[in-house]
Amino acid sequence: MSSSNCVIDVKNLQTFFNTENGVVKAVNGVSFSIEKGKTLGIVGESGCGKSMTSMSLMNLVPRPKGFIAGGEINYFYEDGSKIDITEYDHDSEKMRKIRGNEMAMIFQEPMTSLNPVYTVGDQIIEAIKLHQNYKNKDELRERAVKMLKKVGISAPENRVDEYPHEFSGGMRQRAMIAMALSCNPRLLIADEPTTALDVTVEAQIINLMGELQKDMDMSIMFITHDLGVIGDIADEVMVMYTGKVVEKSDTKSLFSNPKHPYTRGLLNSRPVIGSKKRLEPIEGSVPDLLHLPEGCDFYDRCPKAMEICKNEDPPVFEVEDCKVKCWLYREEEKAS
Amino acid sequence: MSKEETILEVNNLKKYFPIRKGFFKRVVGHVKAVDDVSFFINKGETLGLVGESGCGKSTLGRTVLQLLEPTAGDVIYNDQGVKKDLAETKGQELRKLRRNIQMIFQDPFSSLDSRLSVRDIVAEPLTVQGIGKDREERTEMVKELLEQVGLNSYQMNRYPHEFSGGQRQRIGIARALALNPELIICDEPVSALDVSVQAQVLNLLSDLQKDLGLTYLFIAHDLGVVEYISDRIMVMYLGKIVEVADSDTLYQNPQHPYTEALLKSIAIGDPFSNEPREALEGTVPDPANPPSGCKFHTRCPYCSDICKTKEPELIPTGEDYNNYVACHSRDSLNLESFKK
Repeated sequence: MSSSNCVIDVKNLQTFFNTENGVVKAVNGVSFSIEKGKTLGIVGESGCGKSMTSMSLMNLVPRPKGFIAGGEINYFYEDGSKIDITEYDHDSEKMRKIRGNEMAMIFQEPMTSLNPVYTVGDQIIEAIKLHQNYKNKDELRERAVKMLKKVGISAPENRVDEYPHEFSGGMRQRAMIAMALSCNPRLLIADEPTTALDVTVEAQIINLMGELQKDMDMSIMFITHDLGVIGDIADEVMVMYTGKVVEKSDTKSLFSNPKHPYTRGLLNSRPVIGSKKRLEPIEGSVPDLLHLPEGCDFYDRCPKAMEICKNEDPPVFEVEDCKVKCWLYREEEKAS
Repeated sequence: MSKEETILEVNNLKKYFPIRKGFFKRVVGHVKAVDDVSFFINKGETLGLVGESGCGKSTLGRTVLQLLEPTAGDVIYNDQGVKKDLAETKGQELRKLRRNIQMIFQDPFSSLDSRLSVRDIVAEPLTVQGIGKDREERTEMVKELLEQVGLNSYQMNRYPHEFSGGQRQRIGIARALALNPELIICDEPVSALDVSVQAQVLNLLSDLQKDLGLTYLFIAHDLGVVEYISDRIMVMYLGKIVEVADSDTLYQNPQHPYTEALLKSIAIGDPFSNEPREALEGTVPDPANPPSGCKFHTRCPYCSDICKTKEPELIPTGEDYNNYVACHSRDSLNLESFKK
């Protein structure tokens, strides 16, 4: 991939946690890159390392227990120069300049991620003040109003002085987006931004993000467990399981021709409207990250498990432009 | 309305919450969370209830079970052929009737007492209702219940925090089944779970329904889930039922503009269509200060003058009195069905 178009390039990222019972490998050897203006979707069940991947990118891994144990996170500036985020301290000057300005993040729960004692306007202004050269109070306020207007909040001149509790769930998420976008970031990390919202509001927010992405030529990393949403928004999808990437391909082939048994399981678990066919859930649950099985982590739950899967962790095979971490594709790769 | 196999009939149920203001806490208005709702559930069926948050779905579920005292209306439960109005029943008698109606809650984390072991949680309804001779007999019953919902009985001395979200929801289901109920009110039972676990719990619920002949009132906001599990579906908006239909009809031939809007906003996850989802504009109006006339008129793309002043009634759409819609323009609209 030419680096000129790349916004972020992650190589073999490892984020670990020290716990009383041992080291938990929350993110274990994840690699991906996102191009300008593109959307990468990350799916997986809870506890598979989706959120920790995004926290690592922002260099916000909870300290002191969590730490980045290895790998590179290369961020490319507009001018083409790059910076490896893992080399910088989380509160270094450089990092603070990147956060908000270059990359911004939206969280899942819009109520807990807004401060209840400040007005929505003040919270947007705080971000602008830190990163942009607006000094004049009126100018700052004007900019906050403009941002609220951009994310589709009606009567922004009045709403800017309201507190988060006066906003509905969807409006709070809009305010969060306004805050994240106020400094024109080049990469937006959205961690389950629509999970807590109604379908109607979800559709509004997804459409809004799509429009803003086009306007600002922004890259998005979209984390969710809802495959429906992924199909709507992502160009490329990465499926994670126990901190590892098990499948990575473009969205269309992921839906039309899912390869990894885990991906198939996720797709079959969704009720499809119009079909009353019995759902085929993935049996069991995500294994404890402290006691992972010897071979493939998915072995216990996999309907296609073979002898080799029990003992050896599969490497990543490349099949038809997709990357799959499964022994089923050992032969196919050789053939292609 | 066919009456012979109806298990629950709700007539003109209302639940208003007073809004109090000022020094003397005078009542200045009411939030009409459930406003004049009537419906029935037949024995052995699943009735789905959908709507956006704040439309009164959960309040309706709780009011039916008399966990909230209704402001007005009847909740008639068919107790082996004897019709009893739950809203009029109090004390001991209500407690006895409650054996037959149980509830499964949304949040598997806060609906289980973290200081009780799983055995005690599931045995609590048995103890309260005085079922089982002694502790040993009840423990045996708990073991059976846990096996029934797919947990191991040796896990019963553990505490809720040792279980995952899906397992906790199974514990909640075991507790609801403890008293051999006929009707279970499921209040968003799978919305806090991952898709894979969600499918496990949905399959469990439909297996139990077949084996035990249960009837469900299934409250959810996920239209895919509701369609999968329900025989009939009610759509609720701002305290009112706007449409009732069997689930195929509702998705293939919606009669109310709100239903159409909900169907349009479903994330179908089709990466091959380039059309954006059509999102319904705006949000649910403040229920303390609802719009006049049809409550949906502020967001309705087909709004006409009469909608702003006169509230539409819930009227049957066909001959068979199974499907109902509350819309003034019901005959003139040609609404889009759900597109895959």
